[in-house]
Amino acid sequence: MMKSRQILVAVCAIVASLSSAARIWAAPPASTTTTQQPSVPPVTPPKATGESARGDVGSPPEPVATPTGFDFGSYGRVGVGADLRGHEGYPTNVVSHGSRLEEAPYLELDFYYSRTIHDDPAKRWRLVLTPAFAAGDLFHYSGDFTSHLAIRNAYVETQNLGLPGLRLWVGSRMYRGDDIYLFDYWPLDNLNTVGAGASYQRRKFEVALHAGLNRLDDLFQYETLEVPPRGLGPAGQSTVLDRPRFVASLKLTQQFGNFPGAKVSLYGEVHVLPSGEYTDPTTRAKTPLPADLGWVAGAQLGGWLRPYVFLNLWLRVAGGLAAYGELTVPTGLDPTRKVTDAREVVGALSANWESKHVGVMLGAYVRRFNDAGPGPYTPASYTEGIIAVRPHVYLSEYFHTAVELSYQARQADGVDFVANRVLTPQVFRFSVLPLVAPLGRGTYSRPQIYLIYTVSVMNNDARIALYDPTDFRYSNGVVHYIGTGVEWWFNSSYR
Amino acid sequence: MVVQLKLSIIALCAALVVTGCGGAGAVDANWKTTSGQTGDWRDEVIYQLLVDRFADGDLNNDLHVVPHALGLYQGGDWQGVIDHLDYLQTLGVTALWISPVVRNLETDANFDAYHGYWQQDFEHVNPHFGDLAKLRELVQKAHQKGFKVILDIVTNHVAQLFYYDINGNGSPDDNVYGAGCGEQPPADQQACPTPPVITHVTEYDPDYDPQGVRGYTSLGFSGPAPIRWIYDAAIDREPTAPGQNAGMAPAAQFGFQRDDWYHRKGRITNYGDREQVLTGDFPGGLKDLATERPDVQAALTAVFAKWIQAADFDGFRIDTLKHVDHPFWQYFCTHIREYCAGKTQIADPLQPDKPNAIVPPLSVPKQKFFMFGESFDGDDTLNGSYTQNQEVDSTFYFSQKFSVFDAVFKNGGPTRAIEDQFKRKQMLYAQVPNTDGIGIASTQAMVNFLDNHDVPRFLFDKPSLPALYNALAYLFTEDGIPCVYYGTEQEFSGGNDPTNRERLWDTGFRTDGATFQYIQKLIKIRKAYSPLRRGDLTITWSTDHVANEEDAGIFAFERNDGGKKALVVLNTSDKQTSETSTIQTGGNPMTTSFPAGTELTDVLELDGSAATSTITVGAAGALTVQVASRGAKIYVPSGDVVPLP
Repeated sequence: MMKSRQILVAVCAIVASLSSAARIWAAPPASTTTTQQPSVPPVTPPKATGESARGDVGSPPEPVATPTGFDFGSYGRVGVGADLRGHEGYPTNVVSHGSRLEEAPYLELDFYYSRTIHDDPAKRWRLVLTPAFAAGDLFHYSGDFTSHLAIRNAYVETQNLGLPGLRLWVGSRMYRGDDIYLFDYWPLDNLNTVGAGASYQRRKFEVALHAGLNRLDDLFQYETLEVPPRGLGPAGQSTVLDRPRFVASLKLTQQFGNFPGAKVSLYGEVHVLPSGEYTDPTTRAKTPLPADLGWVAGAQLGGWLRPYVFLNLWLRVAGGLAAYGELTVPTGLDPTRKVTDAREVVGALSANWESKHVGVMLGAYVRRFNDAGPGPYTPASYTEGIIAVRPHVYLSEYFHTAVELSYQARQADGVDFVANRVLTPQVFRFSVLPLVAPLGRGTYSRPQIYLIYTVSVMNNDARIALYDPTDFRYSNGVVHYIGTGVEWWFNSSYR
Repeated sequence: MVVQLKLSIIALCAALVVTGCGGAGAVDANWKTTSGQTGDWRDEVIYQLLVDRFADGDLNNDLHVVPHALGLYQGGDWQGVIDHLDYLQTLGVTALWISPVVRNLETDANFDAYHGYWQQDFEHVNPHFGDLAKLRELVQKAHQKGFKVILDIVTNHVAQLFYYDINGNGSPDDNVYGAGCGEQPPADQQACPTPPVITHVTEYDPDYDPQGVRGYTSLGFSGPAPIRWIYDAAIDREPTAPGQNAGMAPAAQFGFQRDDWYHRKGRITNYGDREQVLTGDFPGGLKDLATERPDVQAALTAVFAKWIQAADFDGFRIDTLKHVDHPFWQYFCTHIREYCAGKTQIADPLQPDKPNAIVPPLSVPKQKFFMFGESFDGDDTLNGSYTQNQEVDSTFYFSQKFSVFDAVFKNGGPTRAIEDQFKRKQMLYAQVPNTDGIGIASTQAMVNFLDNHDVPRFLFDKPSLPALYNALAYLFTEDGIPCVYYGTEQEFSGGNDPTNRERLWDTGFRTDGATFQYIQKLIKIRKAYSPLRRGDLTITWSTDHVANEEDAGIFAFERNDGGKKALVVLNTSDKQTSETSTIQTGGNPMTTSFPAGTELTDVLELDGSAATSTITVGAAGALTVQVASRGAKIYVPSGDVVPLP
């Protein structure tokens, strides 16, 4: 136990010490993509030029800046690597949101169609449509034509219609704020619903309200049973459980100053799940599923000195359904089949600093999760944390080198089923990325074409926690990854 | 502002660290075992519970539960037991015998291993019931409430994890030999038998063959049938763990995945054949371990010693005692006792990378670790033999179940049978305590029971509450350690397996039922009067009469604990009030050791305030007691009467 406490204390101390960096707060880039967002100042984003210059890297414009007519954008990452032992390279994370460097390929295609209203250039409407491909479905790797396609955005919004500063939208949407790029993680707000929302911005204050539904094809929320045909023919279907989750969110943001500047956001969510009844398909026995609730309260404090020199701090507390996230089912239920006592507490940090020759990205979080299942000693409850720093050295305008150092650890409250003891998996990682950035300097400059070498040093608990003893990865405490990859974004519809 | 920010982060992290680490250490690095039984095991009342059927405290492990399909998992778990320790405390039982905890083959032939006797992995828990932390929590909380916890273990066999590839085709076949004539094994049988024979052979569970299961083709036998392990991860049908290299070259095989750690002789077909009983597979294809091998003995001793250390158990109930040879028990029981006493280390031969590994020692010596075995047999010579030579401390008293509770209390047989059984026990079971054992001889520590998970419940065979109460009165007053099968207090009446494994939570855990309160009262009486727990037993009346004779169905005995005495009189007759006398037919009244003039009070009838049934001992200890049909009287000298706890 002391060991784990020491680990967490160390992580926390590092996170705390980094708050000193608040002295160099600076504005984040204007926008990024579906899976990586540096902090965005609420107003006056730097205009993208497509040119490479310190403080004005080749980051895409904010989605609102898409012109009228048809436009196209994309976020994507594609990479491949080997472990130097004859296998495909693999990630080595033991926390929920670890280093993103070995993530599987992912691709978003953003299609926009936008028009002004009554030829008033301030008033517009637009359609945002974003098909996305996930899970590394690359034909040239597997020879398999099958791909996993999702529609990540399909909504229409109006801007300044009826009231200057007012936006209205309806549809299916990723709806989220700032992220920790290094972990591909949104520590405060990250919703996926079908619904509607509105935001209103006046001077440096913005309020954003949203409400929507989602419903997973999981027996926790949805169930159909076969029933006899009305006449002859195949069996019919009866929907016996259908309880979508209602999610509403409210975000208030106040900005102070421009450059340097700061912002404070207060954030909340409410989740409502109606009651239902699960039917055993074999016996038709009914199991009541009571109505349940969830909530989130959180805040973000961000500051920036100039473009891409920023610091964001988050605190998020979630309870009930919301502790598990919005697009998941609970991992544990209490004896009443509710999750009232589930909790998530997150403290997180993201920062970036740029100069002509060097840029530094920093991310860290500590997360405590309490499962709703009975008893204090469940392995479903845990504490985890990670800290990572990625300095970039700009050897020339287009040729850079980055290194990433990170440490992550996790400790479950309960005993692992395989090890018969509490595990404290820990991983130290070191990566080197020689890279080419066609749009020039900047940690957020994309596209980024890179070679990568990572060495991960895992303790025994990490291997035990991640792999079955028969898995070839189980015996490797030192893991190599050597490969290449590319990441790009432009006109991406991340929010 | 920066300073404030920093402080707030430190505060958050500190809170997270505290909340994050508060619980786990208590069940891991700080885990401590306790000193076990400090008293006398005869003071305990054992409650046998099937974890899957007792209470469902955690819905999250209810995988594949089909409610009320009693051959399948029902959802009970260790959390459920924790949640209802108060119920058990209210009933008055003091020791919990919980069903096996190790990981099992999930399901076989459309039946689940909810009972726990289909072992697949000796060193990991069955996740249907919780994790190791939950098991420890159960034992800890039970100990805190004064319960002992007894673990059910199996050393005889593992689940149906491999098959015999009799025809060599690499798949587990169900074969039918012969078309009614001639072609069935043995191959040298040429003539068409009369009547014609069709032989059915399942390669999972072939019949016993003293030479070992043999391969067979249309040309005849082909030598030993290879065993083939099955890999079906979805149901945990994997080679036995711990072990390595199942199915590989014999020299590479390790631990419980060694072919030669199993007898491989097929299923027992003749229980009268001791060799079959000892070396045959248990029905259901449960593969028999070669327990005569020193390496198997060491391995089984290690894995079960680990459970004592891992969860702080106070005793073992040992399954299939009679299916394992005596030398094994002499080795196993002796080593377990010495380990508990802190007198020896136990090697752990199942860690291939650590040849000198030992089982972690207990935090403190564990006293009087109780081991009783299940010898499902009416033969006291056989059952008693397992209590000799430092083997088990006692047995789960099956012969009494057959000859007394079935023959007399259910079926109205003469009570002379009870006396006969008592004499057999005194003669055939160990009369001296084991070294480092429980401190009392087997004859005093038999685990008495009316029914269990392997036999129909008492009320199934004899649907009569008076008969049940009558039997319970004997159970709680005879010498030995009473054991109540869960649900008896709720008047469960299931028949053979699995209907005798009902879900207790369907009763709502009511404590106001007549039978619950009757058992509660018997336990209170047993606790209040030491002669009923520890006293020597002297039979004062038994009879061959079962009809309308004046003493028909009467059985009486005294118990004497250092001069403190009790007298129990039972009438097992369904028909009439009987008495402890045959005066009307020229006989005598019962004589007791009580002095003439001693007033005795029936504490079973005592309502707590005043004596409702007293009787005075006559000259020379003579005493004629009338007892109503299926009645029971528990007398103590009136001066010894105490309020029930």
